[in-house]
Amino acid sequence: MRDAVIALALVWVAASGTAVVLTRDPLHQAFVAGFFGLCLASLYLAMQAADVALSQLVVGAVALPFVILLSLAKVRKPE
Amino acid sequence: MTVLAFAVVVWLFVVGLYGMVTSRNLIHLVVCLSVAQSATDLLLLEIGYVGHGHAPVFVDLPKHPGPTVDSIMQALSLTDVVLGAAVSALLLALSVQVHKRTGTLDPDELRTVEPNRS
Amino acid sequence: MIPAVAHPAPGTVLAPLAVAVPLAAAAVLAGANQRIPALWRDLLGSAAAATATVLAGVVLSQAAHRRVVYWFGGWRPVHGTVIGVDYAVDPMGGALAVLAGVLALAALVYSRRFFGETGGRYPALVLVFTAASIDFAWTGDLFNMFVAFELVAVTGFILTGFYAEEEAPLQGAINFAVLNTVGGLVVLTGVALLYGHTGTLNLAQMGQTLAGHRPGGLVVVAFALLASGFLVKAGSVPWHFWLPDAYGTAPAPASILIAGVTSELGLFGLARTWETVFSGAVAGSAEQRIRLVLGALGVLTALVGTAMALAEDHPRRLLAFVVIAHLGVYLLGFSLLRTAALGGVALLAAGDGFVKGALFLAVGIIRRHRRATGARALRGEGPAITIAAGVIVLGVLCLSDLPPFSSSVGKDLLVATAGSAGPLVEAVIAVTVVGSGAAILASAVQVWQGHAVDNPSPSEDAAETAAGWGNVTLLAPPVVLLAAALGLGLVPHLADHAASAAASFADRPGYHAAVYGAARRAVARPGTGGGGVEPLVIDGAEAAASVLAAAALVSRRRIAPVLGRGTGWLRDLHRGHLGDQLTWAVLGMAAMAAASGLALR
Repeated sequence: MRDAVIALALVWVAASGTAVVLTRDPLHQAFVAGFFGLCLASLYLAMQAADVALSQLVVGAVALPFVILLSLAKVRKPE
Repeated sequence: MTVLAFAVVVWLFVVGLYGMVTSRNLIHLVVCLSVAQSATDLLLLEIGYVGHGHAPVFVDLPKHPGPTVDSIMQALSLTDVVLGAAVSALLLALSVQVHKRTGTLDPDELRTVEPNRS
Repeated sequence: MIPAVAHPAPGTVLAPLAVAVPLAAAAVLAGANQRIPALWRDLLGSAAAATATVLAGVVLSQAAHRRVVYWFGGWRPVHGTVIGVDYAVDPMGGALAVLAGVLALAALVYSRRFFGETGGRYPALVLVFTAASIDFAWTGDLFNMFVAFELVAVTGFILTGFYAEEEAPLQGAINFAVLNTVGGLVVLTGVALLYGHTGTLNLAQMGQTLAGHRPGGLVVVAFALLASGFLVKAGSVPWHFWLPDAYGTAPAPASILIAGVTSELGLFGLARTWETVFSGAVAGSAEQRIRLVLGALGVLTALVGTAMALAEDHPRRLLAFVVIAHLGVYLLGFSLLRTAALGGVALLAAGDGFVKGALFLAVGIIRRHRRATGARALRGEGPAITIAAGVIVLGVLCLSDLPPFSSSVGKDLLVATAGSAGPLVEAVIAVTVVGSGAAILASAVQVWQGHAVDNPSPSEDAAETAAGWGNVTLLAPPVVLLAAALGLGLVPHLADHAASAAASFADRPGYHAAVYGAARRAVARPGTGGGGVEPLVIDGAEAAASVLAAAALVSRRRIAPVLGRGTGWLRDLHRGHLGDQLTWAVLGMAAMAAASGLALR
């Protein structure tokens, strides 16, 4: 049962990781990256690594997209 | 199962590198770097994973709890997740600085040596 | 079961202190930032760096007699299994820590006048860099090595990027950061594979597990990953592209840390993992083949670095290529895999580390002066400029491995132990020394006469001319660093000390025994070849040749365009395109994996 969950999560991670790379527009990419972080966190949870999953959730699904959006705001601000 | 996990690790690393090499935007490049980085985190956890092992939490256990997954690898992975976040944030800050000075984020236009200099 | 020693030698607690003191001071400085006056910040930063240097020196003097082993939290190995994290300091690691401390101190003192107001974060970063370097040199734990590796890289690229001078292309810092992060990823992957294979992160236990077995595919891949990761930091071809970009961007005080410490740390990491982990699993013909792989890489690095130094006209990028060329020589020396040659490399690296630091600082002084005054000739501009120019000329003579300097002793030791490869090593060193010396001298003469190509325009924010006597804190560090290189060369029996330090570094069973707390094994001291007159003649001839070549480069400027055309394709590769650099890095790693597979299996 757990193996099936992990295998499913692995496939999801691979697919969403590819999607992150192929999304060339940074604004869209920020959201795809957040989803990728979520997929990774659930994979880690399934692999019995709860604390890693928690930090991955905070870092990958919240902090990283947030920082990307902040830098985009800085970059797009008219001089 | 294990083969699939290692294949995903290799795939994430290769895809991340491919994205970095072909990237036309520094912010995109930094996110691709973080994808390649998560490949390493996954590899660490996969190496520490034990089939049917439970999480390395040692309270409220039954008498014969069975094997646990390797907690050392989880510690390493945790360190790397946090380290990767710090590096990504730093790189994004540098990219913003580059944009402030040069007005572009395209690595193709950001040469450190001008092509037409003698 | 190996009995654990109940009482550690009283001095071993100094080892963690040398890392903890700069880290604590860095925390105070970063936290207080603007809240304490600038003078106190500088004093605190310098005092912390000086303390770390002195502690490292004390630990070095202890390690000269016996490895200093310290277990954090007292978690000693039990029943042959390591659970804790240890410092295992041998003379080589101790010396590297002292070098890092001295260069950090020089950078901090120099920065007082070099930068305007920097707040508390700048000295904090330099101190974290120092602590991480010492940690890298001393730790006996592979993952700890990776963390220190990352910490050195991260502080390095903050120093490069956020304190960059105004007009410098900042993307050099991005190239530096991205390539080193990829290098770090690769190292961590290698660490993970090794842990998966051996079940431990401790270098000694890892080496013990691998010893005597023919390395399997996993171990070969792990070696290739670790080696290419560390060589990214060291700046070997084809992972060297970030170096000139970083030096083109970095301010002088950051440059001396990257030039004098980072490159050496990369090579040290390769040497450390090789000697403690892999060497026991490799013997006979496999050792010959890996020698060939690393040696070829060294020769290629030396030649590319020298050619690019001759073709480059930007002074700091030029120095970067000189650093790369010299690294090629060290790598060639290491590839001999002989202990005395390793000692020679260590002496070369230490002496050159001081000299390269002095050169970068002197160039920084001149650059600062020219930013304030424009591109007019430097002749007769004031005593400080004359002293800086003198440091550059003396520094070039020192890089030519002339006798009173320590690098000369190192070179003689290296050539004497090279055996049948001796003529090759001698030739590569001669080409590197003559070429890079000529390039630096020619560039210096052009700046001196006001003919430099990189004419900086006077900028308002850099109004200080840095020409007068009032610049003691700017002038003292390069002069002292040069004097240190000279002083090191005058230490009696330097070659013997270096050879015995290298013997202890390469003594895998001795390392294992010390970590497990068993009795110290005697280290056989290899005899070193005497100097004699012949090396002296060759060194003199090399120095003279670089002076002559520099004169030719300057007086006949027609040579430069010809040289430029001949190396055009090479220069095209070094234009700083990040995607290209990454592609080369990945190709290099694949080639390294293939070569190690062929060599080690």
